[in-house]
Amino acid sequence: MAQDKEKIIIEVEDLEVAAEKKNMVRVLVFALGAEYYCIEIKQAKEVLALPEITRIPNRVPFITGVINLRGEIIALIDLRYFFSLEQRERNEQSRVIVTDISGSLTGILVDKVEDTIDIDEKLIQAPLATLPEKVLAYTKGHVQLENRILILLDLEKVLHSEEVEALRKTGG
Amino acid sequence: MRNIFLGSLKFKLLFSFLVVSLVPIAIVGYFSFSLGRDAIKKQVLNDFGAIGHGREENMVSYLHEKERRTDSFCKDRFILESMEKISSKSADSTLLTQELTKYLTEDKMPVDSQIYSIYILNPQGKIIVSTEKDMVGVDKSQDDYFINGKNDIHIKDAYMASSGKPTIAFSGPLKNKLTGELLGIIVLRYEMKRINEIMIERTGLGSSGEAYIVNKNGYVITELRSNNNEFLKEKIDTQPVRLFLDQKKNTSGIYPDYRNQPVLGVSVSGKLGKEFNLGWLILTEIDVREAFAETSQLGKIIFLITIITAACITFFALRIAMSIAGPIKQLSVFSEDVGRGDLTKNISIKTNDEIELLAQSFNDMLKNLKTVLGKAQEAVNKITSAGQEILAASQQQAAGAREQSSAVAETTSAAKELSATSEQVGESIKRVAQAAMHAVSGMVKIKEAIGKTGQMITSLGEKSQQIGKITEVIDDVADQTNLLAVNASIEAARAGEQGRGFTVVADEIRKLADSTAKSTKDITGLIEIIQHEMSNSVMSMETSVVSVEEETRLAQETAEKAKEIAMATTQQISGSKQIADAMANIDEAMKQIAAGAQQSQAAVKQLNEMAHELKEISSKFKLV
Repeated sequence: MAQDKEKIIIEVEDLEVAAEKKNMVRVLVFALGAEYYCIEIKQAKEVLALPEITRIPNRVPFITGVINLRGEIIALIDLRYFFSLEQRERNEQSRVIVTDISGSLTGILVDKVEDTIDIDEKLIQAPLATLPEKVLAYTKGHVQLENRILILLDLEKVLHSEEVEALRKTGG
Repeated sequence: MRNIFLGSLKFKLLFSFLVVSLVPIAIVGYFSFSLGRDAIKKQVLNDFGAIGHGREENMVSYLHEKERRTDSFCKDRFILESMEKISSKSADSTLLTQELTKYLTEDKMPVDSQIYSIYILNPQGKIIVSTEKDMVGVDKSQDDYFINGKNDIHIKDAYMASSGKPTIAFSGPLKNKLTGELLGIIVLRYEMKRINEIMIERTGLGSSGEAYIVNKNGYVITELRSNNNEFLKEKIDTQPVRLFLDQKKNTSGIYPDYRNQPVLGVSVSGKLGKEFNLGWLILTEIDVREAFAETSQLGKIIFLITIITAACITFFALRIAMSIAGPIKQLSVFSEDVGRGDLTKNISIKTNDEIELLAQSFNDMLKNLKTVLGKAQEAVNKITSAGQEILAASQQQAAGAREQSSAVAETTSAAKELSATSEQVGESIKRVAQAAMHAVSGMVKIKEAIGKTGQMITSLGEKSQQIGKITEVIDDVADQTNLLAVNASIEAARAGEQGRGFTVVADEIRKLADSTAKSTKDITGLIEIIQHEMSNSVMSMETSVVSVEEETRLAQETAEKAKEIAMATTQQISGSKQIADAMANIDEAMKQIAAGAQQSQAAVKQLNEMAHELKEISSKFKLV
């Protein structure tokens, strides 16, 4: 057991060495349904467990509601709605990724937050053409890992999309 | 086998007749034959005795005549004077002998033609004069006629002279008339011819009779009929010769002669013995066959008469015998038929005598016999069939008894086996009852144990639920930790290079949270499995409880049943023992029955055999 721990530590150190040497990008991995996505960790400010969502009357369905984050009311975008994906019941694994890319705090509702990992920039490839059009529009590329494919989303692009901008202008 | 011919009535009658008639004839014939024979024998012997005596007389007279002649020669003057001269040697002896020889030859020999030579011997025994010249000078001093002729006239017994002639010699002394001095001895030699002629005279001798002389040594000296060359060569050894030689006896009778043929013969010697020293025996013999020719004729006649008589008697006897024996033979044949069992015939004899009566009573007897035998046959048939039925019945009985006996034996052994088995069953059942009781108590214990186990499992379930709650809490904590770690990681990233070390820590924390979450998941899964298993266990324990209860009930039932069975088995044991005893009794009875049946079977077999024999015997009788 002791040896295993030591190994783990050694690996970690190796990773550190590797990250230093290479041009590494740290990403936050999350899931929508069966697909794994990731965003550059700098685009995220915080990850929240599913808080109490206060529904608000609005015209766009991808705004699920608003949440109270330490006294600040922020809007919550359901990414499933946004990408016109199949709707799913929220559960205890559902997370809210809080971002401040647009200058104001916005919550992004995802099914699950996996991890934060470092990936080599060289491994980032062009977006998969097989993706749905809506998704493809907000994708920077994809990363082929050992056991899964990560779709690298451009969260900034999502928050600066027409729909979100229009919404911000009208009511903020 | 009995000789039917010798035993037959006919033969007996015939034999009796023949005996009665022929015996007297035979006796008469025999006596007349033997008397005739005796008479003839006597006659023949007398005749032959007479012939013998006659021949003897002839012989005696002949010999006397020759003696006298010898004597006259002895007294012849010329001879004597010549001999005196020779003796005194007064003259020339040669001349004298010549003169004497001449005298003898010319003057004396013709006196008796039968003399064939004359010798004159000097006193010393030497021949000085002989009509046969070559004999002069021969010394005869040892000769019989010299030795015995010195004193008196002597006859030398018949002998074979050196010239080869059968000779009888007479010798006498020549003596000086005055002085009585012996001057010489004169010997007259005669051939046996004349003697032979006397003896072979056949008068009165018939065809086979003969007369001959045997000298004192037993040799024949006259001719025999059968042989011409027998002089002094054939020794006669017949009974009369022996008697004569040994005892000087004469004989007459029937005896075997020198040819060993039976002859009637007479021997005569008296006179010849007394008057001469010759010791001759005159034998006159005739063959018995010839002598008794007449008697054999008589015998033939008697035999012929006997035969004729016998034939006549046989004829008549046979007729009589036929008349008696015929019906008896008929009766005999008939009764033989009856004896063989043929009763179908009848006999009819019409002789008007006792035999007819006998035949009638035979018929009556036969009728009665028929009736009796008919009934007997019927009875025998009935007995035979009844016997066979009885035999069959008793055989069946015996077989049945045997089968039954064997069945009983089987039953007995079965009952014994049953008894033994029942005892074993009883033992087993007792054990079963004990086992069942043990099982009942064991079941109760099992039930209790299951109850306790169930409680324990239930409390374990509760505990595991509590563990589940705890793991939920842990999971929650791990989730939040994970979230915190992610946020920390984000914060670190946002902090840039300063936050890098913190990133590592945050990663480690997140990893721990992950593994915690994973472990809690494992625990949850395990708890779920445990709870599932527990509920299964509880369920199966409930089932077990039910089964145990069922088992207990069954064991109790088993125990009760076993008790019942044990009781029943005890009853069965005593019952099967009783059966076995009863079967043994039955077996004994069956054996006795079988033995009885066999005995009766044997008896019936004997009865059947006897009935068969009886049937065979009775079936030999033909009644119809």
